[in-house]
Amino acid sequence: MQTPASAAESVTVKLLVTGPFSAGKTTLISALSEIPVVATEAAVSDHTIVTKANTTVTMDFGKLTVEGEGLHAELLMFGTPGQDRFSFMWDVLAKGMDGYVLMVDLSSRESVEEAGKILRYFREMSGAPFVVGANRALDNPDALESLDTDLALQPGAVVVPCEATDRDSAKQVVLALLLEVLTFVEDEASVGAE
Amino acid sequence: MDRLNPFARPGRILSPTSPSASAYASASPPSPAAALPGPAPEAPQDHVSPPAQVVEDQALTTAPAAPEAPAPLASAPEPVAAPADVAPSPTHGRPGPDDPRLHEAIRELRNEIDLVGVMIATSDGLALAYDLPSDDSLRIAAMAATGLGLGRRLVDSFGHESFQEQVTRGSDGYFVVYSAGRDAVLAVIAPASCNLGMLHHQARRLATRLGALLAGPS
Repeated sequence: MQTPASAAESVTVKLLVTGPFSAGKTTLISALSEIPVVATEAAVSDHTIVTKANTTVTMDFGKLTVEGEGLHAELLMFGTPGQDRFSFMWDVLAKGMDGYVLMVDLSSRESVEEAGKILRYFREMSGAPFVVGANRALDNPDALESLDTDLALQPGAVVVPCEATDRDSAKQVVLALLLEVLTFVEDEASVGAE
Repeated sequence: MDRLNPFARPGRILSPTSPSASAYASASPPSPAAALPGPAPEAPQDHVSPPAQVVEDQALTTAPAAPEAPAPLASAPEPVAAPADVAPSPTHGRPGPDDPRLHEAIRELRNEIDLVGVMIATSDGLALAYDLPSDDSLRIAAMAATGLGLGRRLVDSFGHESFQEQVTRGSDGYFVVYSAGRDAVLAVIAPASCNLGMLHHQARRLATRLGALLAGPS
């Protein structure tokens, strides 16, 4: 996170949006970005084409500006590919991130299982704060209810139920992460000061 | 602020009454979300802020957002009819993984040029055929697709028409990714001693052939 000395309230935050195939990562970034999303999609060639026709093979990139009391934040959102054969891109994109969203499609048991694996991967790689974007939450209350257990979340982990296609809903996910990031940075600073 | 999160489960989620959260959500003037691509609410015509300066609209206390266009996720995949004499496969009648013609193509290329390895993969990163020194086909197929995806995006950004190849040169070797038609990629791992001009000459011809082959009978 870069904080210019001249304007202490202005921050640039690098966020990753990760999660399994078809969890809604590209959708979330597309719903939020103020700039045309830089997407790298290729046609799906295997059996997962029944789920969707295109898949991210490199990254997505979008930007969102958040203004609040005493805060001007530019959120740079990097979306990862979902399939674990692309995990080298997770490493590449995670470099220098301030936090990440783990998207998961609650309508799919497979998505939840895969999200658990991805979360383990990321937690081993990085201590950065994260939130879980629980996509398609409205139609899947049971999956939402058991998500803490299914993802083996620590107490206090933030889950944000959402519909990634809905801009306002998507925004709650990244705002929750922004709050986690700011809190994390504050905590780090206070630990450092002791 | 009550509508901060319509799906909120009490106690678990970012609390709607959190002062920090409300700071983000309540401070902005109710300016519509200008400069958004896609079916965002209409921006007023007199809104002249450049995108980078647009104050993000929180929109939480305003009317519900305009209905979104159908999401990519919701779109049904195009039905694909496989020829009757071919078992339905992920490649829909085109040469599938380990098609002998693909292996033959790899052999031809290796006969012409001294190479470390060759990968033919789908553009979404699944191996179709390969000849590699290591057991890392899954990863290399995905990397080839990533190179293709990035290359296509770059070419597109600069108006350079269609992507042809991407050369990654290390101090001790090459990884070159060639477009092989719309849905496939040819990746070559070559030693530093490789004659790149010769490699391009042979590999581009092969990639064109593969593209036609993988496009299937028209």
